Amino acid sequence: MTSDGTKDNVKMNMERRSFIVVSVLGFLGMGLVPLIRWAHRFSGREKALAQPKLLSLLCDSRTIRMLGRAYLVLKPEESRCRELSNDVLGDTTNEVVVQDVDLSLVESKIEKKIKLDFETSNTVILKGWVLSVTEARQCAFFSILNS
Amino acid sequence: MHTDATKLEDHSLIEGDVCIVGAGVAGIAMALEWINTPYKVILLEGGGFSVESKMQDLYRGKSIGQRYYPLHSSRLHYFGGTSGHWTGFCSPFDPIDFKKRDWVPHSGWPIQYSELHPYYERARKAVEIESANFDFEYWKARVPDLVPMPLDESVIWNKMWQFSPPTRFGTRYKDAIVNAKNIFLYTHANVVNIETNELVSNVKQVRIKNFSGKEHVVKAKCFVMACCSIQNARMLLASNQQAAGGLGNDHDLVGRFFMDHLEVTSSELLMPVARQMKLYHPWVYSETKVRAELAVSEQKQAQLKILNGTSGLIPKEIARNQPANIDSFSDDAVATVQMWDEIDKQRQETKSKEKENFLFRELELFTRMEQSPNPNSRIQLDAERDELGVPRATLDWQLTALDKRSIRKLQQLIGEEVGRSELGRIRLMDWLQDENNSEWPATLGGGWHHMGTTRMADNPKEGVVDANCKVFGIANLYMAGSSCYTTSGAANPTLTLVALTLRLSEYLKRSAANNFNLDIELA
Repeated sequence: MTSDGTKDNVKMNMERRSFIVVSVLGFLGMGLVPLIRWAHRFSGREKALAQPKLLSLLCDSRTIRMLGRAYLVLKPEESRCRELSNDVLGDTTNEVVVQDVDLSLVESKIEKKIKLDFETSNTVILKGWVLSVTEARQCAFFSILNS
Repeated sequence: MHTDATKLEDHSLIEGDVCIVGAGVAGIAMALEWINTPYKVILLEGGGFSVESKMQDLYRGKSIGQRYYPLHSSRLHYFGGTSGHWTGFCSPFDPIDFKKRDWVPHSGWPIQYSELHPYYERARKAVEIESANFDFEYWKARVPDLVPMPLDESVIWNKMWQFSPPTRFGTRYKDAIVNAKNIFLYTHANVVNIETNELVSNVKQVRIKNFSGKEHVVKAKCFVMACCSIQNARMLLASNQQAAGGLGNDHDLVGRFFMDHLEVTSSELLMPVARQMKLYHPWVYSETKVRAELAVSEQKQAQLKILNGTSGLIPKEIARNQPANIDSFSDDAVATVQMWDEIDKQRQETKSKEKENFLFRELELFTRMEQSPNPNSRIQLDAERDELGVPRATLDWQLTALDKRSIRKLQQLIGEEVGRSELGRIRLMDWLQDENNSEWPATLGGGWHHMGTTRMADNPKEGVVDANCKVFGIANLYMAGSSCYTTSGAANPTLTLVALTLRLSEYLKRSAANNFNLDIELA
């Protein structure tokens, strides 16, 4: 009895453990898919859209988030990701670039746009920072994605 | 020839052709020009050859407006004047400084840059700098490791500065003045009143006093006031026996338009990588020969409707150890001069330091901004009198919204240029961040550059002196120095005030050749 009972207990414990492991793995698997998808989705275009390149070399992510929020206070009408991403990329080639996940291509386009902003005084002062409007929008995008 | 006026018999009469009142930078620069001429030149200095507290006290006065340095220590009352604590910064005014700008009220000199330009060469000799050429390319050819930031020169350009040793006019030119046969220097000769004829059209004489209780009279064919901006205005206002409002003050302009440069840390430049910044490196006493500040182009000033201004770059590690000038400036003029004397001595013994690489990635931008001419910014007489009986000066330094807007725009412009050139980014200081905030930070100071209290203009309704620095309505009374400035420009005033004084001197020599009848006005 004792030995049979012990065997039964061991069997039940093993089944329970397997169930838990399988459940956890399943759960993780179900969760990982969108996570991977999300990471994939933001690996190219959105990452570039939300990453003011030069500014990130000068200040931390908290500051960039703060600058983004300051921009959105100034321009609440731009607080949706879709509008922001279009504004960051801008011109008529928007559709082509938006679908492109080639990070360097997107970055290069944004850098040119930032330079043009400074040339044409299309700038904004946020918390004292003299920023190109394009990079201010990048900050805003960053703050939305990381809110 | 030198005479201590305290040694003269009481009520002495001193006579000459030209009387220069004040032996500071302007007074000495002018007197030097007259050595070996056939004219007898009287040079009056209120102090002696050393700075003294009692003498400085004659310059004490109230400051009732924007926070300012103590009036009795920001200028020096002895032979050599304020050059006794001068740091030697030299740069000429820019052509735009003389022009009428429709966005700058009361701007526009009656003379243009081209008329002053020839005198800069002579002025640079007096202040002992290497060249009258301030073009960056000229200096780049001489000092190849002066690397400019890649900015668009049509927006931001490199305004060059040279540094005088600095020339202490008192010690440097004492022998030349004292040994000159036709220059009669009187020390301890404080002018307490300028006396005119009844019609107030001609100065007859000036009255001088000193602490010995003696009083003397000086008569000359023409009088040149070279006592500094505050004192020039004070003496005109205080000489009110014949004209109730003071001399040259029919239109209530004497003392008005007091200006200084607005000097304040305004922003920081942050770069992802360190750059070689030797060209912009802060001045090091007796070592720096030349450096540049970032200046806003004439075209951009017009487009943005802002004043002229520059920004110097100071590495953060240096800036963080520097308190604001307005907080640290001593009210003890004697101690300050002694300190500079000691530094002057020590520098002779100092060996050259290790070679620096001048690599920096974080710098502060220190603005030096022109002050908008403002009639409410002024020198007035106080009810209190100094020990010699002259009413003390009161300064009401008043700034305008244009002054602040110009500083903010200058920083924004530099921010756009460093952004465009991908050097880095600019972050404005807190006090500049809100464009609607009209307050000034506690760290704002002037540059000890007193200007504009007897401003130059085309007519007496707009200024106190004419294009030749002659007081309107008074045939033989002239003002020398920065009190004549119509606008303050962005550069420190010393080099330009010497140039302007040399121009006045040349004019007076022509007048003297005509027995001082060149401009006699009929009463």
